[in-house]
Parts: sequence; C-alpha cells; structure tokens
Amino acid sequence: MWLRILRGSFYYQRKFIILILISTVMGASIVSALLAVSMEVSGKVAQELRKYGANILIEPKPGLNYLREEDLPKIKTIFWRHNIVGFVPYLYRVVKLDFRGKTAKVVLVGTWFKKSINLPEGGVFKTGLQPMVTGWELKGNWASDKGKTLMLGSSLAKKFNLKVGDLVSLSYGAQTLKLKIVGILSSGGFEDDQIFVSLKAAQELLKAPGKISRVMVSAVTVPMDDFGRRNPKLMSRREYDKWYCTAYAPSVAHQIEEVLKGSRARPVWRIVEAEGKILSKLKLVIGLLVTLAVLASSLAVATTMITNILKRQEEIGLMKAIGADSAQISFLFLAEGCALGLGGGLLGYGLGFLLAGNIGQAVFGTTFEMKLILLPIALISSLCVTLLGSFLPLRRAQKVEPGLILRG
Amino acid sequence: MKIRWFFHLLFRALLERRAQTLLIVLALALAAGLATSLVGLTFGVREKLGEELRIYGANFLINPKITPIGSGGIEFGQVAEEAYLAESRMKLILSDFQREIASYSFKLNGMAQFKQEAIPICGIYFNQLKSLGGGWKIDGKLPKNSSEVLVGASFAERFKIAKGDYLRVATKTKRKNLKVTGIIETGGVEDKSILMNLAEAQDFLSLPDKISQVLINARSYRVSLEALAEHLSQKAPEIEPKTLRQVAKAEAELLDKILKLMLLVTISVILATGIAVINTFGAIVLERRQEVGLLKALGSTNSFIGGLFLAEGIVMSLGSALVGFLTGILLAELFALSAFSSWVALPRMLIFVALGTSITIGIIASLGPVSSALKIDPAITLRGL
Repeated sequence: MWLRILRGSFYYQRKFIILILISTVMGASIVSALLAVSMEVSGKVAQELRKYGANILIEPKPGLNYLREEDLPKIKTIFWRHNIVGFVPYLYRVVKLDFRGKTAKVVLVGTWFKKSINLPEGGVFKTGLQPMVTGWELKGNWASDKGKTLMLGSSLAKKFNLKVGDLVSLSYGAQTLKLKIVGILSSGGFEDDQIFVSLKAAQELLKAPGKISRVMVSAVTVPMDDFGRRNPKLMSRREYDKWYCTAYAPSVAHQIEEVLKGSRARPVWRIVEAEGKILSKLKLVIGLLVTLAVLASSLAVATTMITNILKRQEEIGLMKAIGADSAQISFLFLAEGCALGLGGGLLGYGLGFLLAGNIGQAVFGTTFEMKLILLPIALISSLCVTLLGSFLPLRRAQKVEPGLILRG
Repeated sequence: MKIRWFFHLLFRALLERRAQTLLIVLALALAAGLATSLVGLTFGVREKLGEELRIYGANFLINPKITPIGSGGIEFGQVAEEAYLAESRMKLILSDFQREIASYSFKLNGMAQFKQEAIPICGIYFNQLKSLGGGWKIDGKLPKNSSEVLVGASFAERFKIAKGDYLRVATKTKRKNLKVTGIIETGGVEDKSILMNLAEAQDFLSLPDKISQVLINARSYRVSLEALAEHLSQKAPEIEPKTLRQVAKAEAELLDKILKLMLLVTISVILATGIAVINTFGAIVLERRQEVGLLKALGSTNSFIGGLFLAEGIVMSLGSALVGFLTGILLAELFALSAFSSWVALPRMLIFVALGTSITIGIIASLGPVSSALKIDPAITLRGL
C-alpha cells in the first residue's frame, strides 16, 4: 500500500520529480567534484610552485673543492627519490674569452642541458637545465651536451657584440677550446653574464674530469612546520624517524648528504619558506571556496525539496481526509527524500567525475582523480540535504487542515 | 483600469502566496549572492594572491648599465672592473614608483681579505631583509651597531666561526674587527659571505653612496614588468632594469591557474544553483494552471497573462538582486578576512552581476511555465475546480 503510494507519487509527478532529481544531481556533482579537487589540488599546486626554481643546493663540504659526477644518479636512490623531479650539476670557473683579438675574464659554467641518466635501480630519468628552468628567454637554440657549442648570457653578448653563429675561443691555463655560439639566453639574473657549455667540454677545458662544483635539485616537499624546523641532532630516536620520513626540504637534503660523499646539501630557504606559506594559503583559499560552493548547492537543493512539499498541500489534505496521520505523511515524504537523495548522489558522483576531470584538464593539464571514498560522501551528503529539505516544511504539512485545503 | 487591475493582480499574487514568494526570493537571492561573491573574489583574489607571492622575493633587478664583464655571481670574486649606482639618486627615482613597487632593497657587493683569502662582502639594510624574500634563516641576532655583522653558514662552517666571535677583515685601505652576531643560511651566495649594514659596507669598501644592485619586489599583477623596465630606463638612462624571468613567469602562471580554477568552480556552482533555482521557480508557476484558467475565462488576453507572470518574476528578481548583492559582498569580505586577514576591494559593478544573475534566472524560469500556461484551455482546467 505504502510503496504503491510512493510509486504513484513518483509516477504521476514525474515531470516534477525529474526537476528535483536534476537539482539533487547537480548539487551532488558539485560537492563530489569540488571535494575531489580540494583533496588533490595542493599536490598540483606544489608541482606548479616548483617552477620557481630549485629548492635544494648541493655543494662540496667546506674544505673540499669538487663533487663527483658519477655519484649523481645516487640522488634518485634516497627514501624520497620519487619526490626528486630534477637535478642539474654545474662546474664553474673564471676563464679567458677570446673574440677577434678582444679578451676578457668571464665565468664559465659547464652543465647538463638535456640528459637521460640510467638509474641504479633501473629506469631512465630525464633531467637537465632545459627542463628545469622555465621562463628564460632564448635567442637561437639550446646548446647540446655533446657538440662544440655554447650559450651566452645576454649582457655578455651585448658587451662584446656577439651573435648566434660566431666562433669564440675560451682558454684556461694552457688549454684552449673553440666553440660556436648557438644561443643567447636572458634570465634577468647573474646567468646573463655567464657562458654555458656542456659539462664534458668544461671538464676537458678545466682539466677536471668527472668533477662538478655544485648541484641544484628540485624536489617536491611538504611545507615546513614547527616540527620540521627543529634541529634533528637534538631529536629522540622516534622523532628523528618521523622527521626523516617526512618530505621536509631539510630531511630530503639530509638524505642526499647521506648518499653523496663529501657533500653539503642545504635547502634554498627563500624558495622553501615561500612555497610552504603560499601552499598553506592556497589550501585555505580553496578550502573556503569549496565550503562556500558546497553550502550554496546544498541550500539550492533544500529549497527545491521545500517547494516539493509546499506545492503538494492538496495531496496532503486528501491523505489526511482519508485517514492518514502525520507520522505516515512524514514518513512518505522522507522516503521520497531518501530515494531522491540516493539517486541524486549516485548520478551526481558520476557527473562530478566528469566535472573534476574537466576542471583538472583545463587548469593543470592533468585530471583530478575521483577517489572511491567520495562515493559514500556524495551519497550521504546528498541524502542529508534532501532529508533536511523535506524535514523543514513537514511541520507545516502536519498543520494542514484537510477541510480548508480541499474546499478549493 | 486595465493597468490598475494588472498591478492589483501582481501584488495580490505576491502577497497571497507569501511562503512561496519568500522561497523564490530566497532561492534567487542565493544564486545572485553566490555570483556576486564569487565574481568579486575572482577579481579581488588576483591582487591578494599577487601580494602573497611577493614572499618569493625579488622579481625585478636594477643593475648599472655598464655591468662589469664577468660579474656572473659574486662568489667568483672580482672578475673585472666594478660599476655602481648612486644610492641617493636611486632612492629618489624609486620614490616615484610606489604604486608599482611593493618593496626594494639596496645591495653593495665587494671583496675583503680574511685569513689571506678573498671573501665576498655584502652590504644591505637589515630592515629591508624582508623584501629580499621570506626565508632567511638566522641563528642569532641582527647586527645593531657598526662593527657587528652576520656571516653565511658555509663561511662559518669553513672557518669554524660561532656567534660572538670576532673577525679581522681588511680591504686595501682599511682594517676592521667585526663581531659576529648571527649566522645566516639562505641557500644562496649569502651563505659564503659576510653581511654588514650597507652604510658600514660603503665606508669599509671606500665606496660612499654607491650600491651594486637594487632588488625589487614589483607588483607584477598590477603593471607589466616590461612597462616598468621601460619607464625606469627613461627616467634614469644609466641603469639597466631586468626582469627575473623565472620568478616572474612562475608567478604569472600560478596566478592564472588559480584564477582559472576559481572561475571554473564559480561557473559550475552558479550553473548548479541556477538550475535548482529555476526548478523551484518553475514548479511554483506550474501549479497555477487554475489561476490562469480563471483569468482566461474572465477574458484576459495571452499577453496580459504573460506580462503578469513576467512582472511577477521581475519584481521578485529585483528584490532578490538587492538581498543577494548585500549577502554576496558580506560573504566575499568574510572570505577575504579569513583567507588573507584583510578586506578585499570589490568593484561596484558587482551590483550588475547580482541583477543580471537573478533577472536572467527569473526570466528563464518563468518562460517555460508561462508558455505552457498560455496554452491552457480554460474550460478543461476549470472543470476540475
């Protein structure tokens, strides 16, 4: 009997029920999509913030002059190896530049432009200056890691009136190297006064085979908190383990020091601190945005439910007239709300999946993953909203006087 | 007569169905308020986040035009002849750019002898430290008087220097005994340097009123850095302004992405609430078939009835727009206060956003039911009465 009424109410009001269902589906899809977004957005923003530049600097321990190039793949063997998104070695020295009889002292930088390295644990890791620095302006091409080519800072090029295609010779001690300029770069920083050649060419010129003077590492890290700032040397065994296994910039740096002999790895504090602060701020902003959106969609769905009951006063009057009591009527409407809520939640989860995917694609170029945990969340929240929306006008429904309403 | 009748019907309709009118106004106000606050925030957040991103430090530099050849990083020592800017002149020029420049700091680089080695000396104003970037890790205190300095962490480690130690440092003409008040770690070239007050550095290096560089935190969300560079070089031909491209680009991209994210969320939320509101509105109009039948039986024309519904929708939309605008502004400010702990400047044209949202939704929502109401045959509808 009761189920028949419910079915009947769905069937005869199908136009209206579809309207309500659309509202609940939209509401639930917004909730689940935005929850998916907020769960993953900090990871995506953290990736985005890596564009500000390397956040860990490795140098030889004070007293030593060089690190060894052959050790570098070991950086990808540390506990947080998957957080290392790139690293570039540099070998620096002041050398003499010769061009058409003019000479000057310049800073020479040997580096990897684009390098694939085989990892000790298998697999290939692609890194180098080209993927790591975004935003530099380049006239011409990147130099290659093999050929006899170089890139020149823009200030230096201006001073010497050097152009792409010119041949210059670099000398250090008795060694001389003739190289062709393939690109002129402009970073805005001191790189504009440097000369970039492949690491191999620099090592040959400086007679420093296999040696490097600095490595810049880009690692995805978690924002620093009070615990992360503590001195690990003063920690208890347990605290130290916790610190070691959290991806703070200093703990990642510490792990790099452990695998690279004679190295001193330090976070670039300007980047690390700023990244942490921006990340927590953005988390707050997006959290607030999601809360606002979720509240608004819930309110909208609740209004739809309220309308549903308000407009069915006559039906309520009729039911009362043929002997239904308030509890039965409430039960009927709550059951309706349940069905709508669950149906809306399920469909909304599916639609939210699409929405989250599209938002992720449009903004970050990768999709947001829809976690399965969001399904019960979508169902429960949609259920709560429809039930709440049904519950509020029920008091009014209970007060309906069948005589008054049915009179017309 | 007809006009009076129209308004009579209009206000009766609104007043008699107080609960439903209220519900519609509420729903419309919700949509309008949401649109107001989210659109307002999307505009305001750019400025706020841009300001927050300034903790990444300088995105703009001023160098002397004749940059010394080979000055590719102070840690390589004095590679060639040095060039300088005049501090007093730079101060004067930069004072004209207060809108574009959030903060700046002067820097003087030089070399001094310590234990038979050339060590970089870096002169800065310690109260400008913040504008150089957020993350300067200092173990100890900032120098207060002329003979106090900070030393970089690598430098301290190498020469086994601790807080409170004294350093004997010399230039060609001067000799100084400096007290170390703290050890600084930045992850940059400062880690290998001695940092002293700029005025002291000028005196010590015998370079009165000279600076090597100005690091600038420019408000790139407000002005293009290229325009700023051009403007600055016009004012002072002897300088070379430069954009720190990586910082500037990362900043622009991040801001763009966050705004895009907010915009997409805003659009989808407004769409979802809009649809719910349209449904509510539609449902209420849908059930007035009998009223429409009665009006028709009494001789009203289709345009009269259509006009009535439309007018009803517009009156409610106007009311909702006002309520929505006010709540929207309140919401946006609450948001800004909790996220950035400051007010956000909202454009006045947001009232049009509120009006636009609620009137659009109001009209769309009444169109469908109105057209179906007009098809009503009074005889059939009223039979059921």
